[in-house]
Amino acid sequence: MRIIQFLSIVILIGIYAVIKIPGAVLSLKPYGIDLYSLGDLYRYAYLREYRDTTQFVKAPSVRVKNHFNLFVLGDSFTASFHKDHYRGVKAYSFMNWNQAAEQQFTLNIDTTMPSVLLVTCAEKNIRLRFARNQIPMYLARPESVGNVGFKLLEKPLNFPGYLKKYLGRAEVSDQNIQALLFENELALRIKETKAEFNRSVFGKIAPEAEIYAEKNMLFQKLTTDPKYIYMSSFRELGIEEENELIAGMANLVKHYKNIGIDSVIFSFIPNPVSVVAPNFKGRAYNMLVPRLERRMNETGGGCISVYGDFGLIREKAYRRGDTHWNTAGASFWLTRVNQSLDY
Amino acid sequence: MLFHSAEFFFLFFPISLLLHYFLKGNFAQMLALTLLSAWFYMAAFPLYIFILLGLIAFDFLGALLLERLTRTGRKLFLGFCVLVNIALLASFKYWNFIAENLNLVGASLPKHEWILPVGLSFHVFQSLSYLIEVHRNKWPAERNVLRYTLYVLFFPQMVAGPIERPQNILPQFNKFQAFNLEKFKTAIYLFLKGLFMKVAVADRLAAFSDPVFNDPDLASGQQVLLAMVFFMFQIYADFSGYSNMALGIAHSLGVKLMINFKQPYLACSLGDFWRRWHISLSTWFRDYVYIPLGGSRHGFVRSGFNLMVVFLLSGIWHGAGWTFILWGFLHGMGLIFENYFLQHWQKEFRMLNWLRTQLWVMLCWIFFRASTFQDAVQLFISLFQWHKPPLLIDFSITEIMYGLIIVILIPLSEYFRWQHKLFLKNSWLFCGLLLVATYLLGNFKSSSFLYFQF
Repeated sequence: MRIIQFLSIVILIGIYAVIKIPGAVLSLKPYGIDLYSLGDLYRYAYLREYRDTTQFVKAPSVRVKNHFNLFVLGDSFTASFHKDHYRGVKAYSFMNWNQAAEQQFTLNIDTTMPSVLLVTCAEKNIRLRFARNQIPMYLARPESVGNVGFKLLEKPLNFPGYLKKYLGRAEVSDQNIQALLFENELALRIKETKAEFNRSVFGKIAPEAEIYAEKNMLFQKLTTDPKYIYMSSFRELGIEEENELIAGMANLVKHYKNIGIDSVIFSFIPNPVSVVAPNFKGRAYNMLVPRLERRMNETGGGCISVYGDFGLIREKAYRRGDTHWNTAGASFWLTRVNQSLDY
Repeated sequence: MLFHSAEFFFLFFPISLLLHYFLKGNFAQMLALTLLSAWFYMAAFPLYIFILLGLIAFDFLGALLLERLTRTGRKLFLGFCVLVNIALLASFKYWNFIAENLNLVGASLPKHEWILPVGLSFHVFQSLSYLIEVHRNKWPAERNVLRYTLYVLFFPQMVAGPIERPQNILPQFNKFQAFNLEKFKTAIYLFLKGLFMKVAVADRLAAFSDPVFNDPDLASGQQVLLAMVFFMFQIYADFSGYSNMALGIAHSLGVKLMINFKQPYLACSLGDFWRRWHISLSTWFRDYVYIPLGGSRHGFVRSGFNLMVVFLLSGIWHGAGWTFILWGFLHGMGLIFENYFLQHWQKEFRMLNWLRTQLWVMLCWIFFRASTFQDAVQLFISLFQWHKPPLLIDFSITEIMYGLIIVILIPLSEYFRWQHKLFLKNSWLFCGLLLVATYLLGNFKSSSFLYFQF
């Protein structure tokens, strides 16, 4: 009995140690534990019919002779792409917006080759990222040593920072526990039962998601509800704010051109609701993406637009229970990018 | 770490239980519980553990010294210790409030942006209780630093009470009870009952009352009325839920904590209400403030004054804001009025007495919950605006029905002791049903307990 007790303690402490490690979830992905495999919105709502079993397959690689260096400032939409996805790229470097906002970073440029900065941004984040006062966070310091590309300047953790990182982040533990203990079929069935009960009895689903029954899709509430100032596709956009966003982008272009980038190109990925249901619940899409794309020449940068193309294929570009595009949407975007980056 | 978080429920608590019953010997069990408690505390703001450890060291040594001092020196030294404890609490909790108000009359005091350490008011009051009991020679100063550390840190009650007395809890740390299935069953029942109250009652009702209290000018009269009723039960379910979970967790470790709530919404007078609501705090104020001030021994005026001091302090203890002070003042006034005018009517017209008590309590909660005094006034204005278009709240008719059923069922089940009878009839089945109901009806996404802010 005491041996069983002892073993249980050891196993539980082992699990506890793992769940306290930030990023443990990501490292478990190769072993089949992936919180997002069935869709990030499904993970909120747990409604069975929105389980998105169509896995996101990486778009095919494109290999041709190297002509230029490509730097991408992007988010979860473009984070999984690598050098071979882009045609003619010699050196490739990716910087996530979130990391750029939290830490300072540098950019080393190879002046013997043309350098292109591709600035990609999901529509729901445009108003957050490009406001004039936000831009300074996303400006890399020039650097002339080391490998070509972005480099985060990580500050060494002090004692309080260390404690906070490994002990005091409840969200890290909760996410890791979810991945380790509750991503099995039985647990998902139980969660789906609860979600179904709440939908049928109280008429409620998870507050993070909204159902679009017509196309059997889930939308992210942040993008559909006009009360969300930054992310909603239906929040009014005044001309003053539009001007400010353009000015912010112009500042970004100016900075990167000054430190040696030859070309800065913007590409916005529309919110699913903006192209699939621009009149969702009788609301009117604020046309954020097309309005900014029309004025791109004022920023001094280029533009790769997929808004019109996605408008043609609509729901076929996105996953059903997820906020992201599917393989078709991603391939479409990559094709457009590779057509445009023809150096 | 929250009791209803996955981290606590699936890892921390099982490890604590296994370790506690695996280890042999009082020292090993105390050490394990102390380390686990420190770990529990550090899950929120790790660095704040040093503040708590500093307080523990100061009070531990202070009590030892206090015991050796003679009469006058003893009183002075107790005063000094109390001052240090209160100063610590005040610097975190009350400084900004004091500075804000003094700045209104010409001072220019700076404000800070420190985050209040979780449960600091509870730690300070529990430590003060220990110091005062030592000073009164009712409890000897603890010689074992580990035992005293555990007295302050014991994780089931460290963040929101019950505020324990050394007499109740320290002897239990001398010899922990062995595992007992019957007691464990009761512990599970208490925990589940608390969990249900928190996630299936408090957090459900909060989905309606929070938007109304946050936007009092936009809500209609009907909505304000419903929000007032819902909040009355939300705060009860939230705090009594937490207390029951704490009781259950401690019980499973072989430690019996004091009961914090005894069906307060069945009280037929305000005096009775305060004997049933947050008992560990009310008795703290009774024992360490009201009685030393003279209690009810020196006539009506003095007794009224003493009552008012206690309730104003209780208001301030709950929060640094005029709304909390007003809440305490109204309860004090209510009690004084009751003692003076209604004393002879207490035993008759029980239904009427119950109604006027609960109505007063409900009205007072408005000041407790409102963010500002202006919001509280606006709630009263909105209460009478029945033709105003309602505030848009994501709350279905079924949810309103559920809320109303809960509001009716809670006092009824407490009066007839339905839960208790069902538990005695078939405890495992009842616990199983409670677990299923909690899971299906519970909102596990909400954040903290209301009383954690104090």
